[in-house]
Amino acid sequence: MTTFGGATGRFPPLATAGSPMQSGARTPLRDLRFRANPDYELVLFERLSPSEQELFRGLSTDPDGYGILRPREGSGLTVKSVSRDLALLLYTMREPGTFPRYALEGLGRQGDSAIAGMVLDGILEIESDGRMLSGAQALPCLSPPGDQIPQGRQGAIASLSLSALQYGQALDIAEPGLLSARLYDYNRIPASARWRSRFPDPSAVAELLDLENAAFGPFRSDGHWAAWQAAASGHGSSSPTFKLYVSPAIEQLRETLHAATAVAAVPRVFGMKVGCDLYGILRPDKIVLYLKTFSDLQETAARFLRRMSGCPGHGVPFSADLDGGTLLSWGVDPPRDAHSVPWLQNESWRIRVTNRLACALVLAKSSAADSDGVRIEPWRFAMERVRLEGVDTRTWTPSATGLYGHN
Amino acid sequence: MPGFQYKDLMITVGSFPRPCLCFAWSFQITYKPGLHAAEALDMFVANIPAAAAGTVNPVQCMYATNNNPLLCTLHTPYQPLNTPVVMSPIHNLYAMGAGPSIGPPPESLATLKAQLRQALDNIERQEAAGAESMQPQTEAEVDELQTKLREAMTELERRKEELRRKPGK
Repeated sequence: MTTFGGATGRFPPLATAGSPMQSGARTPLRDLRFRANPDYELVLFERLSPSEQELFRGLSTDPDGYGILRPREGSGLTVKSVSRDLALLLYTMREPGTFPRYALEGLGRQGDSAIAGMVLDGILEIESDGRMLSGAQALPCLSPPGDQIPQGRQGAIASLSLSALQYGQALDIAEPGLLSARLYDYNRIPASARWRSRFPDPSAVAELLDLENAAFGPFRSDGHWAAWQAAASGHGSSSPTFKLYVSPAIEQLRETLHAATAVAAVPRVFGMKVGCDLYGILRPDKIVLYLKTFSDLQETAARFLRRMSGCPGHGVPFSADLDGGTLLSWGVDPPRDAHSVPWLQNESWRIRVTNRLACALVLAKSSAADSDGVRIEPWRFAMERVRLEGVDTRTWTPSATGLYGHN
Repeated sequence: MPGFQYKDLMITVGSFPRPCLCFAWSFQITYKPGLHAAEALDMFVANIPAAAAGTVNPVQCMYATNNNPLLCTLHTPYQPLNTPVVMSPIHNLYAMGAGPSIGPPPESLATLKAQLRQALDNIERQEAAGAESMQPQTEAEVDELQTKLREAMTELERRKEELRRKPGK
């Protein structure tokens, strides 16, 4: 049996939530002129067709919800739900003008970032040299080149994530959901004939995992995941969930799995799952541990690395770097959003990130070049878009505060 | 959603309100106890009657390759054209953020069983109806089929005679 060890367990901190667009903008955004994007139609929920209302049924339960923004076909824009305050703002801004004072006061310190986000998402247009711009075309107005993503050495997972994003850009896919799935699936190992012959059925995978001898259990299988959950975790769906991804090479899966259960201190780790069929062990996030806090996650990771440092990793794209390698990484699932549409109510960290990236890629790929014939690389635009939300795209680390609605 | 909030719903006008062509949303009824979120079960139960009406042709979903469970978060369970919806059991563990969930309440299971029975009855009726439609419907059709059968029998007799005459047989 191979043994691993020697890690010190020092991890990077959470990213600092900020407003990346603020510092480098040539002119304060509040002094520029904006307009609601005429490619969007604002539709009150009750005025949607019956089939549309059925489709968006979850939104109608939101006490602050207004309806949806329905894009013009071929615009590359996606359907968005909007709050009442935003609906009023968009009605106010049908003609170009500076941002209303009441809205600036409402946005507070995050004003510039919020405005920039609305422009990059195509909800608002910004006036530049007599033209109204949004999406990727507007990026230079909001974030001059020198203020964009710093170049430099990247960790292995960041490098993998960048490759995934550039792969997504190369795909001829204009449907954000499908593109998000392709980003999410990046770095899975194909279920080739070799793997199929090695693991012809679930019992072969079960033999590899040897879950009966794990430090705790039992693990219940649904055929794809074998999962364990603490009897009383006390962890509600309204709280964020920290996830430690353990991503070993398949050859090290059994000992990695057993090490993970050995170091997982219950109740800090209140849930765990491992892929238990061929596809499950070929995906990079083969093992996932669920924790309540970031400090719990750090401590568990440190204990794990003391035993398994040096173990070859696989690498989970769009997860946050922990030690510069590919064996361990993490994410934080947002709280459940009961007022959203069903397919977005339970987004995981990686799904939310790939969803955002996919929407940005689709929008940027549909954008025309600017007046100088310059076209921003869609992958770069997508990274800027998630960076604006507080994700440090050098490490894919979420911010400690304010990201995706939880502190 | 306080303040100036919005959320991307991950669909374009081109895909909305066109129905989803996802197999898992349409006819995958291999329910396994203890793995569905109650919400998923509700959707399952609510839509089984429509499925039983036979309004859906299951189509392999482009997302379903490699057992990708993403389809559960990327596709609407509410089909605009009243397409029935069934959640696959693989969805639940993936969709939840906080680890495995417990199974659905027993009363939901009872309802589920009743709905499944109704669905199977309807499918059997459709199969029976399909078998009847394969039968000849007029006397002329019967005559034509009989003629073909006689010709086939004659051809077989001829072939049999040929084989008998072959040396060594």
